[in-house]
Amino acid sequence: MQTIKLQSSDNEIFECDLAVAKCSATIRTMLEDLGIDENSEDEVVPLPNVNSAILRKVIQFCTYHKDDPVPSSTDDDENKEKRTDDITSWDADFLKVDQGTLFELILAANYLDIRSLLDVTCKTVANMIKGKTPDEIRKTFNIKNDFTPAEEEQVRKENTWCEEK
Amino acid sequence: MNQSYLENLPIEIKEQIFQYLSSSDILNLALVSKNLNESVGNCRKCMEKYWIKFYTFNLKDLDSLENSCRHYVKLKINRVKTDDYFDYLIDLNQCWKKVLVYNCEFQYAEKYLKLIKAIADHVEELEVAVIEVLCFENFEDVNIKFPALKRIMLRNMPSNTMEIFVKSCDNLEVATFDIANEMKSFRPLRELMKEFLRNSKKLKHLQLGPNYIRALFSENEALNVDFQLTHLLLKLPIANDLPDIAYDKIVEFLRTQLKIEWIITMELLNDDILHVIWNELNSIKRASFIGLVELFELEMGFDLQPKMSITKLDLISRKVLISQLGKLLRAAPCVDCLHVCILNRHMMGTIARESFSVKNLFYEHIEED
Repeated sequence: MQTIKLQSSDNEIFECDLAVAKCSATIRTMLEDLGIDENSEDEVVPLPNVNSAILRKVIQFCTYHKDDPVPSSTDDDENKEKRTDDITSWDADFLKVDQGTLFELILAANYLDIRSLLDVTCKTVANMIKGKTPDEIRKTFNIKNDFTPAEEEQVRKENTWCEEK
Repeated sequence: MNQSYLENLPIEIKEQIFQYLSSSDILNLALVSKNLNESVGNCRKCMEKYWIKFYTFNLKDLDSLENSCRHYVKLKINRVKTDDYFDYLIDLNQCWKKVLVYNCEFQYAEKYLKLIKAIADHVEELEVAVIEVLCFENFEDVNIKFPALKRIMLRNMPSNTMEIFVKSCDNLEVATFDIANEMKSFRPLRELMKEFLRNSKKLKHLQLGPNYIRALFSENEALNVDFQLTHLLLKLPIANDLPDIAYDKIVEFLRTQLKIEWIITMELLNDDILHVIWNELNSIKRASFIGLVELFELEMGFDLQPKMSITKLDLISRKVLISQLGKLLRAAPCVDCLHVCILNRHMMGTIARESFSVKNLFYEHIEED
């Protein structure tokens, strides 16, 4: 098994399976750009935007999903509201974390360009929003209502203009 | 940290999350905070979900739209007859991508022009129908560009309003024209349409109503165009409505269009047109014939050669002659999908007898004996 060393922002080194690391399009590009190949055992890939706690989780996710087929997307998919009820039980358990970790995983998935992790984390956040009133969303995400009552009323009225069909 | 994790996400990640939300969830999210309202307003995919419907009989709070930070893309204007409302819409300064203007009345042509100018830079799809302009001017010197316009539909319009679009729709791919009110003291519709079609070099889909067909094909001059259509709909006039149509010119035009994949004719009453559609245009994969009373009042006094390319056939009329149905099915041996309006026992017998390839049969009604 070929391995690769990944260095987190807090300088922890993770040795992981090359196939797992290559779930990240960013790492794949870095390996090509830096000329690191399978025989460069001492090379370390620095990941300055991901701390060790999150990198550990990312490696755990990629190890579990490394053999998944690459999903295809079509133009039709682009235009319709996407499903959020298809998160597998393993992924759901994996994402039972505090909100800080969930959002850091989103940022890491975006930086490392790991499509499947970004999708499932975004779906999880969407599920936390769905069906909630503005006040319930504020409570869920600890958001301060910075509208004045007049501004809020204005947005409420503006919303009445928005018709789906 | 003052803002929440959600508010702090980069906009492109917020948009990833928004794509999983319904329209009502998005509107609720916009009410949470200024940050999220702006994020929703800047998300094109979110805004594409909504129509702003400006209907005079159902107007809402005008200030709220005027002070909006959102970038809407779809506007539908209906039954507006007051110039102040057109000024309001012009001043909204939104980059509308899809605009529908129906049943509106303009006191002055200038106001109509201002509205069209206000949307011209960004509009990708434009439908204008049943418009009245009370005081007309000549639009010949008007120079408005529509750099993004891909689809246009003009229906029931004064013919001279066409002038605005004649020179400037370079990227147009889909055009639908139906019902024109010829304005006598301006450039004739015939000239306008010919110039429009000559300039629309990228046109792929074209639909023409009877007035436009007559304007294009009523004289001895051939129609010269640079485009190659893939879809063509000819809504021919009902028998003897417009007797001066030169059907031979339609045939000539069809012979230049060698990439048509789907042709639709309404009220086809000319053997030569059916002949060229069936026996000469080898690109056609779908043929749709629509007749108000009869499918087509044709003798069909010529042989239909077997046309292998046709896989879909629509025969939409209250009355389809069994002899015509049999002849078409025999000449379309690869038809997989057949669509009729009324299905009866005789038709089913003919389909079973004449076609081995029909796998999908669609119909609106069953006629019992």
